[in-house]
Amino acid sequence: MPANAKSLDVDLVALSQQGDIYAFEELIKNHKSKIYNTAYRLTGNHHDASDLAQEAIIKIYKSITGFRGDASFGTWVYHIVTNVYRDHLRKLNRLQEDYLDAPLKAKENELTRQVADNRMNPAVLYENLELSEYLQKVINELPEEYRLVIVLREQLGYSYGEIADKLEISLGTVKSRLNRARKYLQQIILAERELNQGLSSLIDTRR
Amino acid sequence: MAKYDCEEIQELLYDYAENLLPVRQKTIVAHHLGKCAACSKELSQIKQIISLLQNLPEEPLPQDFDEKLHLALIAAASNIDEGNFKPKAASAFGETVSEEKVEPIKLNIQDVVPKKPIWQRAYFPRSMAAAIILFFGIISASYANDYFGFWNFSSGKVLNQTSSLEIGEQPICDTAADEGAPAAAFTKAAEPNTERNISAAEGAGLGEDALPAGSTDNTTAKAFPPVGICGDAVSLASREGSGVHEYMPLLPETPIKENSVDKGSSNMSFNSHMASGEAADKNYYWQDYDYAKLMLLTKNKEDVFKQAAIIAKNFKGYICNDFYDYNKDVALTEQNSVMLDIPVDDFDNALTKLSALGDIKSCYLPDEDTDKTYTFKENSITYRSILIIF
Repeated sequence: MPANAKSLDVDLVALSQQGDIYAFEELIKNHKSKIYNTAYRLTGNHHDASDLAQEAIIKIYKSITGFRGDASFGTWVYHIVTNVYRDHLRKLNRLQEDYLDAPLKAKENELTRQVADNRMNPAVLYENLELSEYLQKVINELPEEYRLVIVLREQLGYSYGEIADKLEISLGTVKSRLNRARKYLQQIILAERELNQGLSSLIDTRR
Repeated sequence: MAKYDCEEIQELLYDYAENLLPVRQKTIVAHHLGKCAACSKELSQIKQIISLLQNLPEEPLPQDFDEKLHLALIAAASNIDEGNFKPKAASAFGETVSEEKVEPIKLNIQDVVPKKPIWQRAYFPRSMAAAIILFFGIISASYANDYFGFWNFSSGKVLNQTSSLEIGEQPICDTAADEGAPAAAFTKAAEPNTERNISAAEGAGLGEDALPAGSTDNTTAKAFPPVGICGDAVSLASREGSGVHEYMPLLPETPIKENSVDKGSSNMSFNSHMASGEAADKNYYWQDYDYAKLMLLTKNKEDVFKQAAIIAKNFKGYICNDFYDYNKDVALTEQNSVMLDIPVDDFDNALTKLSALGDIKSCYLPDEDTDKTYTFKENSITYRSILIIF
């Protein structure tokens, strides 16, 4: 990055605030990929991710007149992105309430939910699919609320407090959602010992 | 020290892994981990999961992402995506039509349409009479044409009159009506331009010659050419009158000049004129080069854009904005940026020239920008460089 990159950003923001599309596209260029990737982790497919990321970027464009430069542009961008994702989730939730650990109400006994396992044998999958694809498949099985918390935490690096703040939920809820989601992933991904070893060797090589 | 069993410890392990526990609980967990193999294993798995999630590889953006985004931004900029789209009142002639004219007249249909059956309505006998007269009129006219030939369209002189008459009449000109052109434009179009009318007549004459002689459809065929010419002439006139090409295509069009209308040409339409080869402006060589893009931002756009266009031209490049009037070399943009396409080979030279246009506030030129691998492809337009001149 050139030394005057910051001054460039300021210029681009000023132009974008006047509605300049080209300046805005230049401004958002470095954030596009991250916005798209978080959307992808959240939606689990490229088509919806594309729509959602675009929605977020359009929202940023429309609200850029409100950007006063108090926070860094990046911080401000991801604040809006989070809002868009949260609203997206609320829209989905209006259609369907679903909790991973919600007990199914049977006539007399409460049953623990069995998540349908329509995946292939993990070992086969592991051989056939890229690790990331496999992981995404598992993430896709999480309910959306859990996915959002995971994405905010692991992809955007928000603290628990920030997540609670942005999603307007309690700190305890953030913690429990995060932990349950991780626990779930852990059980699915790391249950198989062989797989476990394969993964850890892969993780080691990634470092 | 309070006693914790494995279940309670495992509840705390996530926080422990992320170093979120208060010191006291942290020591308790650490102490337990030293003794309990199961919980240690659990911790290592938790750490793996966190690491996996944090190190997910980046997914590439879909190929059409930028393109779609650009279109969506244009839509957002003109507010058409939220359903509050107001058609711009500005006409193609640079004249502003007031909003009242655009607004449709509200009619209460109940008031206007009577509920009587059609044959009982007051105007029925009159309209029937009119229809009959009209019918006989048409029949006799076509017979008259066949027998006496005084409505002979193949004569250029008669046709000339018809043509200008038709041009003068507004309702017939569908093309112009579609464009929402104000009446003033029609008057301009209707001004008798001998040159144009003659060639128009020739066009019509040719058109008629092409028809098989003695065809039964002769009457209709004869009746239509003037209308067609009218549409062409008006659409041409509207282009000339405006000098404004909204939504310019990526490649520049050549300006049509009055004297460039080919008298011998059998067709006056704008497109076929372009296709005639004569129109290919020698200033533009867009097919022959690999282009690099340069985005120019400036506050002093009137001067800088004009000069930038000249510099671009000198290097066989061009301004590739959506809104650009190539006749006048003026960027028709509210925005303060233009995009320049400049052949890769001359990119550095062009940049030097462009830099001389004013004080450079910032110049953002990443290495890959001038790389030849970033060649011009219509579908993968991204910005190569930014130059801000103030």
